[in-house]
This record gives sequence, C-alpha cells and structure tokens, in this order.
Amino acid sequence: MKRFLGNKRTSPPVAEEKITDAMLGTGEQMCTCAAIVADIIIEQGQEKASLKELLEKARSADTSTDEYHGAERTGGR
Amino acid sequence: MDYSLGSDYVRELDLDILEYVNRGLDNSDEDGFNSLALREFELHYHTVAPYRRFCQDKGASPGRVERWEQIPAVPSLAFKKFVMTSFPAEQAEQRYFTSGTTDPLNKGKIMRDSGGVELINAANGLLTRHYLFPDVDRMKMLLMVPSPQMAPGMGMAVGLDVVRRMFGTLDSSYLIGRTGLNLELLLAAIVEAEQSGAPLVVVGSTAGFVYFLKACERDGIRFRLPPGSRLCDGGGYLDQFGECSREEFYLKSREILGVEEHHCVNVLGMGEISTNFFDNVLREHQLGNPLRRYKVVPPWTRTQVVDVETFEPVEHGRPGLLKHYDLINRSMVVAVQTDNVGFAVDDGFEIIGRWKKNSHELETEAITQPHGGRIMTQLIEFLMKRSLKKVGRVYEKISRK
Repeated sequence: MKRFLGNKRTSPPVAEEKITDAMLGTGEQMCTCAAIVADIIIEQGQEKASLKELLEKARSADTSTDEYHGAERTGGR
Repeated sequence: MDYSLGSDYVRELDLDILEYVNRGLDNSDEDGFNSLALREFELHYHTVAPYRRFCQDKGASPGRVERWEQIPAVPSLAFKKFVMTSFPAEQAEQRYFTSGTTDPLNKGKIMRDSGGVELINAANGLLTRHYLFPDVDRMKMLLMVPSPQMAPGMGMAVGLDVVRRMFGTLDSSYLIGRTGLNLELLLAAIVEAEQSGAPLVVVGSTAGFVYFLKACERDGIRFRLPPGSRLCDGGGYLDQFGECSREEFYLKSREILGVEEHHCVNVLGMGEISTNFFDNVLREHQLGNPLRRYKVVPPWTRTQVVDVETFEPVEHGRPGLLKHYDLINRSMVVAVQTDNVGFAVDDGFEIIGRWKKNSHELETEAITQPHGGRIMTQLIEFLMKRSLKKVGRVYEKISRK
C-alpha cells in the first residue's frame, strides 16, 4: 500500500550496488501496456478521485466479484 | 578513443547499423551482425559505467569478446536500478519512464539520443510495414493509448504516434483521453467502418481488447468490420491473454468484431529492448501460407532461449528464458536478459509467461492478469470495466443516429 501510494521516502541508494545476474524473476517488467495506461489515467487525475478512493473501489470490486458482475448486468451499480 | 555522441566512432556505427537495417528482412549477413554487435559492445563497455563493472566481474571486455554470443546480457531489473545509457543524460531526445506498477518511485528510465531515435524509427517502421501493413499504404487507426502530448514519458504512446504518422490516415484517433477510454468514439468508428466498408486497425493492450470484447459479448453486441481490418495488441502471452486464453481471444475477435485470427497481430514490446517482435501471421497469410504463429526475429536482432541457472542456450524447442541481442539498442546496451519464458521455433520464438523465481526450476507464473502488482491490476480492471459497463447504452445511442 505504502509503495503504491508513493509515500515519501528517500530514493534507494544505488551508488554502491552492482548489476548481477540475480536481477531477474521479480515479476517487474519494464513495459506493461495495460498497467502503463492505468498509470497515466491515475497520474493525469482523470478519474477525479483520490488514489485512496480508487483503490477502495477497486478492492471492493475485486472482493465481491460476483456481486459486481451481477450489478453490471442489471445496471444496478 | 572518443566515444562521445559526436565522435566518428558513434556516427559511423549509427550509419552502419542503419545501413544494415535498410538491407531489409531477408538479410542474413551473420558476420555483419557480429561485427556491429562487437562495435556496440565496445561503445557500451566504455560509456555505461554500471555495465562495465558487470562485464569486468565476468571477465568480459572488448578484445576478449569475439562473438556476439559472448557479450554479457544485462538482466531486465537492472534498467530500473541504473541509468543504462551510452551518452550523457542531458543529451537525451527521448526520456521514457516505464511502468512503476510495483513501485512508482522506482520506475525504469529509458533514454535515447537523436541517433538512437532514428534507429528505432527505421527498424520498427520497417517491421510495422512488413508485418502489420504488408498490403496497404495507410489505414484508419484507432489507438487505445493516450496521445504523446498527453503522455510524453510513455514509450508506447510516442512509438505508436510514429506508427500513426507513417501508416495512419488523417482520421485516425486516440481513444484514451483525459476522461479515460472514449467508448463513444471507438464504437462510432467501428459502426462507420461497417457502413463504409473501409477497413481499420485497432491498436492497444491485450487486456484492453479482452475487456472490450467481453463487454460486447455481455451486452450482445456484434460487429462485422470490413475485410482487411486488423487488430494489433501488445502484452498478451501464449497461454493467457488477460482474462481469457489465446484461443478465446481469437474466437471472440472473429465473433464480435469479424476479424479473423490471421489478422490479429500480437507484438512483444519491452522498454529495455528497442526492436518490437511482431507475430508473423498477417504477413504469412498474405503470402498464402498456413497459420503458424510465432514472433519474428529480424536480422538486426538475435534471440536465445537460455537455461535459468547457467544462462546458456537450451536445446532447440525447449523452454527457457529469453535473451535478446538488439543492434537498435545502441543508446543502451546491446544484450538484455529478460525473465520472459519462451521457446524457439525455426524462424523465431514464442513466449509462454514469466519466470517464477522462487522456484529454481523453470516454472512459469500463470499469466491470468497483466504484469504489475496486484493492486494496480485491480485498478486497471476496475477502470476498464467501469468504462465498458455502458457499452450497450453507447452502442444503442450510436445506432439510433
């Protein structure tokens, strides 16, 4: 959560760090089309809502998937 | 030796790479590739300090490395931890920040100087012509991405704008605006194409297509795009395309949009690798060949499938991690080790998924969602589904006009 919301923290010190073959397999891709688009939408403030609100909505949608889809079908949400 | 951007070394290297690219897609000059790769390695060794240390640890240096296969490949994550450019950052013409889905404070940084931009435009322009538009000069494009004015730091937006200018008609449109996905514009353009008979191309993330196709399916909406229309998606994988399998993806493309599988071109694009890897299907269809989908390895790149422990090539056809050597990466480093899992086919490769590192064996994560952290994935799904909830209503409104 802290990492996503971008809570202030100092930049990671990398001066002494070296590239190693172990820098793989983290699941962190360099280019993620859908994720980048979402980044842009959020960063542009297009949704006119705080990140926290968006996150809560997203989580709510995710944890009640059946209800969410049911509501979509009936137009009740 | 002077390795600065204005030096003879870099200028001659760029000219020679460009000449190599312009020899086309049937170029099989192995010695020429090796020579250019070694010249790039020399440049990168002397100009990219973190890479030089990495090479020194491996005992690799110009003079000792004689073949492109011996050039040390930088692991993907290093691009997020280090600035990997072969020139001073202040001379960058393009600066991209790749997705910070896991950690927004630790986004990858991709920079290219003007020579690097010329190389990437030439190479990807040639590939786009050959594998996406082999049969037409220009076509109306619907781009499910933000415009570069809106997202100047997004490589995909800038890259697709080049594609739009090279291959798009004047009525091409961006569909991601300041209010999110412009669903009305998307549906109106599709209906107009149905009526006019003029084919179009829809370009976007695989996940975006999946959400759109599912929303249309849910609301019982079907289109019949004119023959010649095509889809170009990025981000999907062999086994899983977002929320549906590849087979389902192509089935829905045909049923809902009227676009046949051979006109659905998936592109593998990565920030740390300049060249895009296109599916061969549309090109092969044009040539009258049967459908046998794979990613094409163009002459100025090499792709190896390597063992997860040794990083040495595995037996042909066996799965392993994809390692790419890309001459177009002159602005960065020529060799990149990804954690994508794939396998080689005769003329290219296919991608299966991502390496699941916590197992030392080659297991892949089930790709049931786009890359990125779970929270971001939830957000993407939420935003896209919310936009697409009204697809039925918007369609009715457009149909009444």
